[in-house]
Amino acid sequence: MLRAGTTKLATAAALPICEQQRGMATLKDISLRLKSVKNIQKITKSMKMVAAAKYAKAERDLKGARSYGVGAKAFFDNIDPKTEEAAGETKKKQLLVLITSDRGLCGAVHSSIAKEAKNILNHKAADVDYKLVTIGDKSKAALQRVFASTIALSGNEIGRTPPSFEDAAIAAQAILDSGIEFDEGTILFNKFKTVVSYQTSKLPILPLEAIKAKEALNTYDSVDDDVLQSYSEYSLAQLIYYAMKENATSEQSSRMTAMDGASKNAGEMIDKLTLAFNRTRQAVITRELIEIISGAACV
Amino acid sequence: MLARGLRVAAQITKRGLAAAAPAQSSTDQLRFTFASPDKSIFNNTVVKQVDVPTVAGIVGVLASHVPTIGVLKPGVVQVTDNEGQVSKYFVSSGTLSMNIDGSCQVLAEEAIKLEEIDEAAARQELESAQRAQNEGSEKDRAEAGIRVEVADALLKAVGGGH
Repeated sequence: MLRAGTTKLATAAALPICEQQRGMATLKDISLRLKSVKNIQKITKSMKMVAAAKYAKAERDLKGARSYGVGAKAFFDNIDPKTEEAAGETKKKQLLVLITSDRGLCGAVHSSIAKEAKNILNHKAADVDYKLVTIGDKSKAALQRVFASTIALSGNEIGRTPPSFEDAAIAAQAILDSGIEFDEGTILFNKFKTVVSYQTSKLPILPLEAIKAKEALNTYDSVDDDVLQSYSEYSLAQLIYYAMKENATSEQSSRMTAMDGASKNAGEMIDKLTLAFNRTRQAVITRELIEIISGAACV
Repeated sequence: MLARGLRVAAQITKRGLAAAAPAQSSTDQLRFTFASPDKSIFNNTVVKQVDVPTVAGIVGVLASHVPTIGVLKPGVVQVTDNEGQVSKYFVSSGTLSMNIDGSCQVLAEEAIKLEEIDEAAARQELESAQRAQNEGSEKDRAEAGIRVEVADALLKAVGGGH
């Protein structure tokens, strides 16, 4: 069984060599390609190391950020318990905040957010109006072509440094300053599960008027408008911060696995090319020998 | 036999309490979460009492406190846990929410243990903020005013009172 397998592999390896003699047979071509693939492997390996270091830091930060974010969410969970009946009716004006970053080569992290956003926008009811806030160039680029009119705000320079509360505060301030009116909002981000998996998740956000309209708010004591407004604005920043932190961790872990896969693929290509190089080299030597021998025979 | 009967009875009563909890406004344990953006100090831990400085005054939260929300003022948060240990943290700003389900969250923008405050640096900050308060645009002056408030509260916290 094993012998049959190796002969199959040998013929498979031999076939491209026959074609190579018509196409890129020369030793120089193969060695050029080999050098470039080796360089690429070095680059992807170093990218993987960098991503691993950034991921370790991001995961440490996430521990603190998680209890912060879950705490911020608790108030909204309490005043707006998700019941089955309430889920059916969607409000007219919706806001979508997409958390991505500017940098690519990180697997499906950005495309999954863009896909979910496209899904929501394509399957919305006719009278529902969506406005998008894209944080990070990747989501903007993905949605620019078809949904450019829905993009209200976009942020860039994300992804170079780990997200801080200040960044989230800037984003929240921009949303509040822009005067976008919305009845309900959702933050789309990638929630970090493990090194190899993350999940695209949603965080609900409620603007001031919607919070005031919730009846559960009446059980809360001594809540005046000032306090409520400060609280809702601050909560927006808190939730955006939490989503940014989770997304950053997912992105770094995804980049790490993607670069690891790329390095492995490059390694395989190097092996195949090295084999091809050696065969070609031997073929060249054999040809030269034959020429010399037959030339000598002529003489 | 008697022990098993007692255990079963305890389980039944526990189950009964769990079913009733959503109906009640809060349980008789204060589940406290105290976090800042980069670290979590208490995460759903059961404590006895928390004193929180809000814009409306210092709010003392015990278990079964009525639900409320508030905005933090620069000051000291004092946590008394079930063994009676008191820990004090300085907070710069943030939010407080005491929820219907009996959980309390204090989410501070910056939180630092009192022992770790550098008094000299705080004093310097107060002086520079007071200088900045007299110049600049309306917005700059307001920001400088906030810095003065925080530095002032920092020094007061280090000084021992709160």
